Amino acid sequence: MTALFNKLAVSPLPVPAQWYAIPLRLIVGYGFFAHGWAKLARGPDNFGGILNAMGMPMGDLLSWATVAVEIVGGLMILAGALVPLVTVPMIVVLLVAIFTVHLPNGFSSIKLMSYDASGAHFGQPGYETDLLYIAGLIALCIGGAGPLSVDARLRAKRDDTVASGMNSRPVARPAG
Amino acid sequence: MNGERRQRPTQSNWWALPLRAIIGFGFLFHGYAKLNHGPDKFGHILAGLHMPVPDLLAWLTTVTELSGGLAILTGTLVPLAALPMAFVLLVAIVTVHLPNGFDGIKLMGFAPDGTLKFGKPGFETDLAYLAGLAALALGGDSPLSVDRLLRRRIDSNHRQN
Repeated sequence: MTALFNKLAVSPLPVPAQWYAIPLRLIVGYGFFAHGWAKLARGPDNFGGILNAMGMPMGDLLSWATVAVEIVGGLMILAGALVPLVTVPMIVVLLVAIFTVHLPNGFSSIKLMSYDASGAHFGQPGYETDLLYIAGLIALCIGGAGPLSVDARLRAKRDDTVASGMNSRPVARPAG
Repeated sequence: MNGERRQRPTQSNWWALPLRAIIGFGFLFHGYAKLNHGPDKFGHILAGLHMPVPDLLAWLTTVTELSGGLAILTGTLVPLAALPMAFVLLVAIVTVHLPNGFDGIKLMGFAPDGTLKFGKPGFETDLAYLAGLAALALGGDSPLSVDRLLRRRIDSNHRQN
């Protein structure tokens, strides 16, 4: 009983630790892709109009840039490709959303206020969801993209090259 | 018995700290908010949703959110604490968010009074919490956590035997 408790109640669970990255890549990658796709489907003019009305500069350009970052970034996180690199513009998008939209609404993204015949009523969403995405992205940058990722293949290839002495300027280069 | 574990004490796992911070704080925040509104209020909402024993469920949810949030913040028995937390999230998905689709944040445009208008939130935020909890349970004991202390003690006991 104690052995079972020690094995299953104290982290980590007895599985390869790098699998931690899979659930994070799925939700972060799919989440960004879904939001980018939704903006594209409604026409980026729609989102650009909202940005212009909020008084953002160059609303149309920003709208396209956001859609591109969300779709391309989402797909690259799903594939585990160049994660630290794509994380930068993705976090910029999240920070802009926090500071221009969500900050005055406080922390909670889900504010279940009441429930009546017309269904559930919610308050204005805060920055909770944005923070979750930021934490997930930072975790993937520090901990690695895990199995089934382009980054794992690139790193294996680089380590092979270094090991076989074909690369003259190897070792300890920062992750690309 | 566990040779694989003994190879592993150098794992630093700093990646887990931002996740522990947001998940722990998030659960504490929601539990504290329910306590602050008076758990009766959340019980009434649950009754409106036709949930059975709404008052008991309201209390159980509040307790799970507060104690689970603390466990994640301190990194204590994370895989065990994650189970009731995941259950709360799944119930929220099935009873409230599922009909609203995936999107947690639906920026629709402007309301007549000039404020931004949002649609009803889907299950995105719940899924993000679930993924974070799964990552913490799978990925390991992290720095500044009770689980790391426990894991060290368990491993050294194994070595002595």
